[in-house]
Formats: sequence, structure tokens, C-alpha cells
Amino acid sequence: MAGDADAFGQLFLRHRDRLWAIAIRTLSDPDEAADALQEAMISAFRRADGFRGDSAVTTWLHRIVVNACLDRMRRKAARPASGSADEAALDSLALGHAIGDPSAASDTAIDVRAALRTLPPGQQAVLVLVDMLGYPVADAAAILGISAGTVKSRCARGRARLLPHLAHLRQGGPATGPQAGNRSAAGNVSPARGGGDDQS
Amino acid sequence: MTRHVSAEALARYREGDLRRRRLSRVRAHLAGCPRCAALDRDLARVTALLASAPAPAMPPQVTDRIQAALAAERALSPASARHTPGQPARAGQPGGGQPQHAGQPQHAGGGGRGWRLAAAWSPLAARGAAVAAAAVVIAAGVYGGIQLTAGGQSAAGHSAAEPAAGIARSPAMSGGPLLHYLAGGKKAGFTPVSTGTNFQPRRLRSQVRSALQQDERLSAEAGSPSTSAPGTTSTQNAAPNASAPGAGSSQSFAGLPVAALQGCVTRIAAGSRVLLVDVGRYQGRPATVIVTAAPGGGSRIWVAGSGCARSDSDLIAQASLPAAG
Repeated sequence: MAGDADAFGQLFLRHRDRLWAIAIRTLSDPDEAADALQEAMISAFRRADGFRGDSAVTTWLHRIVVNACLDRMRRKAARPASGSADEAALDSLALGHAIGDPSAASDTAIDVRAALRTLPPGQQAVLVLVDMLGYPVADAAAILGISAGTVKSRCARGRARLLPHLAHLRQGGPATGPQAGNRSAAGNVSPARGGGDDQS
Repeated sequence: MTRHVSAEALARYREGDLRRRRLSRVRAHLAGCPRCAALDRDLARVTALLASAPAPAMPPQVTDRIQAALAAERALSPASARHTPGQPARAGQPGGGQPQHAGQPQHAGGGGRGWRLAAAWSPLAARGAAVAAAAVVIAAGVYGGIQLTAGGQSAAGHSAAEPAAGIARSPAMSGGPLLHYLAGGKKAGFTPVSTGTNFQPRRLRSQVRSALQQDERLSAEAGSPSTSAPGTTSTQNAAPNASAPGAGSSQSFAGLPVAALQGCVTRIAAGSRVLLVDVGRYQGRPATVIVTAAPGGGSRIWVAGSGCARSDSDLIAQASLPAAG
């Protein structure tokens, strides 16, 4: 036994939107994301006595959620995909869509998801945190327990590997200036965009 | 003109992850190479695409479910352990002892070790009270149940953390109601059991094999198979309370409402034949282990959490179980 269900419930409520954002973007499937989030919260609850206050609670919680998602991804990768959603996503990726087809944001989402899945979990995790959710590199490093340099190189490798998979979507899309991904702010874990809940 | 720049080097350039000399070479090359400049723009758009990919918002029921799970977790801790002298409350959990305190994350750097468990339930935790109660019943059912006395019946594959005298089983185990699930539109029967196993990821297959053996023994004692194929079940041999319309919801097995259990099994089976339904624990948390026949032979193990119902599988884990032999 570790934590207090009440305090933990509140902690969860305070951070749930951001934690959910990580889980859903990492795992794509809402059921999987919910399972991972639940698993992570239970795990955090049990391990609260091991929390020594050497990192911000937000980082600690984020790390547990990211790890739960990565574990799930690895488990999933170890067995053949049976979900029709996965197959549909991969089919759509293989077939490609009309270049620049503005018809469906959901197609874009499916393609991005399928493309992300072609990356190793470590690269997926940094791209979810840094590119999708806008966390500064330093915060992503703290969450993942790796150096900022490793975050940067994984980001770079991941983006380069995504390039051919997303070729059909890049036409006409918004571009960012050079060094756009080089966010270096440190401190509290706070996405530059998205997320939506308050800070602890 | 210098050599073209690879996508990865360009991505590292964009990320500010190149040494100064390389960085200036790339910058100079980009200024005079339309091809690499286009690649650079494409890389920028990859980031933009990732940032713009929509994601569904968190469904409100997920919040409820997680809070309920936290409440259930609390219910499974020391209070239930007191009813089970000599047996860990959550066998197999890392550091699964009984800490006297928990760190207060919010007070990092100060009173981390001073955080005490709250004695009272808050309204927040109480929202999960139904699930918590179910969890308590499961714990009591498992540990307060009858111990098989024949030492030889202790199945292989149980750790030292499992009850030493054999496999604890709940009183409901032998007389579990015959319940139903739907497979391909046809009604089929299953009798849930509670073998008391705390299923673990690494030993899932061996634990499930022993659960299947126990289930088989029970079926032999009862003189009827614990599950039946779709279409072979008639309402005559069903337990009256379990199958009567409207009555199912008031029944429970090992703390789980029968209606939810039937819905859960129907959802998980998804048309396959059910071979075993063991209501117990997985990694210490309430879970139902369901084994279904796999289309190509062998079977499939599904571990569903306490939220499993017709509408949501609450799937925790799954694994294949090759045919024995």
C-alpha cells in the first residue's frame, strides 16, 4: 500500500488532461490509452512511498504514464496486431491518399498515427512529447529520464524516418522556421501548446 | 557545391544538434541547394503535421473508472490484509510490503515522508465505492474461502506468495451459477470460478493451465462441463436467478455483478467459445481471466479489469495459449 486514494484522486484530476494527451497520442486507441492511464495511476499510487521528492510530481507522474504507454506498445509489438483499426491505419498508409487531399483531417490523423508506429518506441515517445504536445526538450528529457541531447537526436532521427511516410501529406502544409523544434526552456513540465490543464 | 545533406543530418541541424563546423557547412549548403532546402522545408512540415494531428478528448467515464480503480486499490490494501494473516495482500507486487507512509509529492523537498494515509473516504474516492466494495468481496472471497486440503491438488506454477496450504478457493467456486454469453448470436453457457490465483504476466500461461485443470476437476465433481458451445445451452439448465430477465443484475459472483460478468464475457469472447472464466486478480488487482478457443487451435487468454462489461472490455493483458501436448 502506498498512496492516499483521496489525494491521489485529486492529483489525477489535476493532471488527467495532460496525461491523457500523452497516452492517447502514444497509443492512438482510446481503450488502450485508458487502460495505460489506469495502469499508470495504480502503479503511481503503489509507488508513492518510493517518491522522494527529487523530481517534480508532474514529471514523476508523466514518466510513469509514458512508461506504461511504452510498455504497452512493446507488448503490442511483440504480438501480431489483431485490431482492425491498426490494419486499416496501415492499409491507408500503404495505399496513400491523394496528395494534398484536404478532405479529411481524420485521414491525416490516421496517417500520422500509422507513420509514427513505424518508429522505435523511444523515437515515438520523444516525438509525442516534443512535436505533438509541445513539451520543451528539457522537460521531455526529464520525463523520459534521458539527456536533452538524446531527446534531440531521437527527435531528429524520428522526423527523418517519418519523412517518406508522410510525403503525401506534406504538400501545402504549414511549415515552421529553422530550429523550430529546438525548444530549450526548462523547469516545470508544461507543454507549449495543447494539454490544457493547470500546473500543480 | 558540397555533398547533399541527409534527412537525418538536416533534422539534427533543425534541432540544433550539430557541432558548429558541421552546422555551418549544412547552412552554407542549404543556401545554394534547392533540393536540400526543399527537404528542410519538408522536415519542418513533419513537425507541423505531428502537432496538428487531432486526438480524441478524454471520455468522462475514464476519469470515473480510474478514480474507482484507485479507490479499489485502497480497499485492497492493509484492511483486507488483516483478514489474511500470513498472506500478502498483493502477492507479487514489487515492494509489496506494508509501508507506513507515502511520500507527499506536492511537498517535494519538504515533508515528503510525512504524508499520512487519510483515514476518511473523500467524496472523490467514494465515487468508486461500488468497485471498491466489489474488490473487498473478491479479496475476502479468495482468502476467506475454503482451502483445498489435498496437498497433491496444489497446482504447479504457483509462487511462494500464493497460499501455502494449497489453492484458496471461494465457496462460490464449486457452485458458481451457470451464466450466459452470446457467441455469433447464439447463447452459450459458462460457470465462473474463482481459483484464488494472483495471475502474473510472466507466469500467465502456466497459471491459466492450472486454473483450467482446477476448473476441469470442479466440472467433474459437478458432473457437467463448466462451459458449453454456442447453441447448445437451453434455459432449462441455467441457474434460475442468473438467467431470469432482470434478475441477473441483482446477482453477483465473487463480488462482480453477474450482468456485468456476462456482458464482459460476451464482449471478450466476440464469437469464440469460452473455456474458462476465473474471477480473481492480476498483478494484485481485481481482474477476470477469460480463456477462449482460438480459431486455429489452442486458445487465447484475456485478462480484463474490474471495469469489464458489455460496453468496455477494460482489457489489461492478453496472450495465446498453445494447445497442450
